[in-house]
Amino acid sequence: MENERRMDETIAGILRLGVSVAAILAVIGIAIYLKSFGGATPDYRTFHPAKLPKGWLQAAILMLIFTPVARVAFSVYAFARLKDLPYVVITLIVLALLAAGWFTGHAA
Amino acid sequence: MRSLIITLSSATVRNYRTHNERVNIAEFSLLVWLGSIAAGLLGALTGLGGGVVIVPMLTLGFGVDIRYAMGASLISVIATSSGAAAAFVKEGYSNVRVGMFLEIATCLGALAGAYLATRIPTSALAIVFGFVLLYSAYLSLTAKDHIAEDTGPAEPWAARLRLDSQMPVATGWQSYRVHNVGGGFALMGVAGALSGLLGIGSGAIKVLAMDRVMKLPFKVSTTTSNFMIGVTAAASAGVYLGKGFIEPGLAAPVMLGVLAGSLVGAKVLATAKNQTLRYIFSAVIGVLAVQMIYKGIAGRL
Repeated sequence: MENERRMDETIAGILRLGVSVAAILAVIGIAIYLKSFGGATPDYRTFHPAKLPKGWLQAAILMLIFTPVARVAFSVYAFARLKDLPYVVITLIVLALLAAGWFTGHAA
Repeated sequence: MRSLIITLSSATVRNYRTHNERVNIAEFSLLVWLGSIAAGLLGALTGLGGGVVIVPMLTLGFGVDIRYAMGASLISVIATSSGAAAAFVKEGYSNVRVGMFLEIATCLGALAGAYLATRIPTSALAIVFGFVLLYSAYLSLTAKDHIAEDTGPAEPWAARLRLDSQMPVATGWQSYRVHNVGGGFALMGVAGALSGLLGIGSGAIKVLAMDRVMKLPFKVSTTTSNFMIGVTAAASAGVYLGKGFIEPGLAAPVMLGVLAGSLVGAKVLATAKNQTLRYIFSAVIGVLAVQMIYKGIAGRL
């Protein structure tokens, strides 16, 4: 029980850190983005597949997407330390599904 | 304060629509940011989450293509869910094992939903979105904080997976049991599919699966749902990113606005529980849902 509470607290810490860092990166990123593109006319009415510009904004969005992934990855480790084999397998399956979405999405 | 922001943003939306040609990306981002704060507030106060409010706001109010709207919404959903989940997990309400196990179902569903989203026409997305929005508003209005009756037969899977747990109450810790794991798992697959298909968290359906099907205590259901939303959305995010749904100039202000709005909304919710306010907001959401369906059928989204 004590170990599980500690795991919960680490999970909470990972989530809070990930979101905070992503928010800071996004503020910097949007400022830089608007400095170069702010004067242009927005064209969000028609769909052209968007690409992330390299830099702060890309880092912000990737950081955000990887925050839950990091939480799952940590859980694999935490359940292994608790010697809870079923949950090591369960969290590994979730991690594999996240990886599947990531890699097939980019390959397509 | 709250009504001020909402009035302000609806006025700016109107302003934007009439002077569309003269608005540049910087001004547009500012308006979207303000609107997203209002959407985050609305999402937190109705218990629906920001994503489900963002998509109608961007498509109906700002004329944004629904795929960009879904991409921005999905990103904001990851942010708000992770932010809120951190607090709930720490307090001990979220059932991490239940969440982890059911994430297999939501992630599978999310991958299927996200692939479907890249293949079906946008008018179909708008119509499905409208109906899901209506149903979610109905669910959140009828949701009640209650202690589940612990009467059903013992569930072998709950014991095998060690899902039964405890939650903090005024007098210490209270034990609860988990029922109908199979039914909950199946409904979670549906919740995941809708999340991937529409770029939302589908928290209302996740709560439905845990609260009403698996008979978890209400507070455990809502907080565990929140805990799962980020991972579910992350499964679709790779697909959305690969297909170009995530327009950074739109996603960043939306995410920052919804995050701020929902943080304030959660604080307001903790201090004042106003039932009338919930009814008014749910009515607003109902109107948005009907508009989404109408525009989808008319082929204008």
